[in-house]
Amino acid sequence: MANTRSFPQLHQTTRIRRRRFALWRVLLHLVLSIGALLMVLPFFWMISTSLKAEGDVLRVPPQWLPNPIVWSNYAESWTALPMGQAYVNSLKVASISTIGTILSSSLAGFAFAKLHFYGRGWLLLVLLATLMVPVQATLIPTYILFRWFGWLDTHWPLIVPAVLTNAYGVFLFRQFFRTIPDDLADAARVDGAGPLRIYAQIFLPLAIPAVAALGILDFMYYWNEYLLPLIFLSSVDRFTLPLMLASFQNGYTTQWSLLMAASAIALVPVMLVYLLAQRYFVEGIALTGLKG
Amino acid sequence: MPHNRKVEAWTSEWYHGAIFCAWALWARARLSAGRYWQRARGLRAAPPAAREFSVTTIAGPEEEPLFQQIVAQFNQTVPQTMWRFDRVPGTWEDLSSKYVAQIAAGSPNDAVRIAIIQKSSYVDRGYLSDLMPFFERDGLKFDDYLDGAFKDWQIDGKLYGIPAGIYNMALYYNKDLFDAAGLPYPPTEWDTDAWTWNEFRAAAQALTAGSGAEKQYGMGTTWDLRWVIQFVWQNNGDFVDANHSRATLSEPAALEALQFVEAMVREDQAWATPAATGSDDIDELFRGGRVGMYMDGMWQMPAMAAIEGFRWGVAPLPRGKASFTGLYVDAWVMPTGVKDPEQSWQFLKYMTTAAPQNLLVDNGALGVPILKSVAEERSGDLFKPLSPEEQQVWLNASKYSHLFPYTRRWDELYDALLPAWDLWSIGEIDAIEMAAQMTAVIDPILARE
Repeated sequence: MANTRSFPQLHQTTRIRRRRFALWRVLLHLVLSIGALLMVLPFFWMISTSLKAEGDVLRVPPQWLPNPIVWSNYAESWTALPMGQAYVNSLKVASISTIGTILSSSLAGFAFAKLHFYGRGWLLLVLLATLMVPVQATLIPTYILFRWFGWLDTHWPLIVPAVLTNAYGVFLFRQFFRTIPDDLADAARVDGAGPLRIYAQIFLPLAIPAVAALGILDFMYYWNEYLLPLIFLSSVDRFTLPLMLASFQNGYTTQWSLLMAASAIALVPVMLVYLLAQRYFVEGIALTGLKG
Repeated sequence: MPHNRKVEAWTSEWYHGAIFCAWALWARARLSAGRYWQRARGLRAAPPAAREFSVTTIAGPEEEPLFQQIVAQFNQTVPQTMWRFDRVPGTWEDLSSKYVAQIAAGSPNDAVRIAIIQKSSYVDRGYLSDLMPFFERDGLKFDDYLDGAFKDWQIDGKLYGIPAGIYNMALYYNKDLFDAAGLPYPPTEWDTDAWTWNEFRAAAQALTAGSGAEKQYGMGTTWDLRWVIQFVWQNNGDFVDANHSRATLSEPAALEALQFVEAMVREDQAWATPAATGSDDIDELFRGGRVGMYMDGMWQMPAMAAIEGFRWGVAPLPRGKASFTGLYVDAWVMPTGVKDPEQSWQFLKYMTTAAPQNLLVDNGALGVPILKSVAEERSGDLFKPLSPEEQQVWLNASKYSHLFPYTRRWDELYDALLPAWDLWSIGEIDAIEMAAQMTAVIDPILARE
């Protein structure tokens, strides 16, 4: 059907569409801004509380801006406990666990996606079923196992299970590798490459978004992990940061200012990791079809 | 290519299996070798190491040196063993998670300090060893310790814990607010005509002022039945009978006390509750200068001592038909399945002696020491920075102590009480209805006990 409208009519329609579009964008930004504000609010409260005097922390109505600003809370929270050692411990546990998880999950994910072996489907099903077993259910057997190994009060119980039993990571990599055409592997095989070489030189370099996505998610998880360090660690010099943060609480009271200052300090590595890898993170989540 | 795929499958399966087996063998070999060389070095270089034991409890950074010092002192008395202190961070629930996991795995710490709230469920599940045979064998006498110290931990002729110290409740009050309201300070004697429910309520009304977000309240406490029950006791009531066989909250004594509290909350609007203030942390409101009187335990003393914005004091709880305050006694226990019960007992026994009790007093920790001689000799050193008269408020509190009736299924019972408590808190039901609803859920649980 031919367009019978004149140029002025078309111009007017376009203007109306533009106005509607602009209005829609304003509304959209308004909603997003409110959502972003709600997300930022707890973070803002944490920073604000970390700079308050202890008596001002739970004032009702809340005092949003600290007055006076108590910068010394940061120094005090750092020196009241061996936070430096805990920082090193957390960095060690979270980094090794994350790198190990990425390696083991990508290897297993590659196998599930591109290698054909007997029982692959069932094995994957069993692996995914382990996602439904809560950590509390496996805690006691794990504890007995690590006692037998002589690993209690060491960082091994935090690292080894993380590296060897990450079904979520395996599934994420499997999904990602399935999006890569088999032709690449076939071409490499024709050139004489074995499975490990195909994995290491072709598939892993293509999986940077998935590596970033899993890296960020796992680093955050291992950085914040509380229950396992609580159960397995006894010596204060092996404590990770979440245990140190919990030390600002006791059976009856909580030192909120120091707790929030220490929490803000503890947040720095996670934010750095996210900022450095956020582009890949979004891409990885989109490509693997996984959302939180 | 089916052939290639079969080969791939075969190699892949066996490849991973072989790697895993090799890793497992390597790990086991490393462990064995490590132990062998440790033993070998020990035989060559030094006499056999002292046997190692551990004691644990929750402790903040400020308490850790105290417990380390106690353990170091104990180590000097028993050179053939080496004890260490493991600090558990966080709350009693965190300690409980660790304790239960260790018990289930069969490798608990050799001694642990647990909270009174954990006692019932631990006894019920068999997590605690009976200390009575050791206690009697070594000739310890209950008479040497403060009245009531051991009562909570003795059940059916068995002793499940060595009290760590005695806690009671009293009123912390804001002297500046009392001055501003033209009120005299409460007395420092318990069970006196000068400080009854009437005087207490009048003071709370006089201290209440303002409205909205800046409102000042006359009275506050942790809004929980375990705190408010003090008023029921003061009226000679309780929430279960002495045999823990039925609920007694609907009886006149308990109802009258609950209605007294209800009147202060609803009619006077003088009692700061979470529903009224929007905050669960009433202690923070007190420390922020917005509550005139705050009822809580001795365990709040370190937090109160840090108050700089106003002058504060400690007063007895008001008298109803009687004077009562709760008795809260955490204890050092021997978990079931410890590797050497005799050594565990030696540590627990040490905690009943004067040396560690004096250390506790020096550090103002764990309330009133249980050993009578230390409590009497060191009374002047307890509860700083209180005046001598106010120190006596805490020291005399134990004479009016009332055991909290922790039933065997206390955890279950407490959870069952909460719905009615919450409805009362937000004004949906009155005290009579709350008591009726609580009775309806308490009795079946007690029947199962």
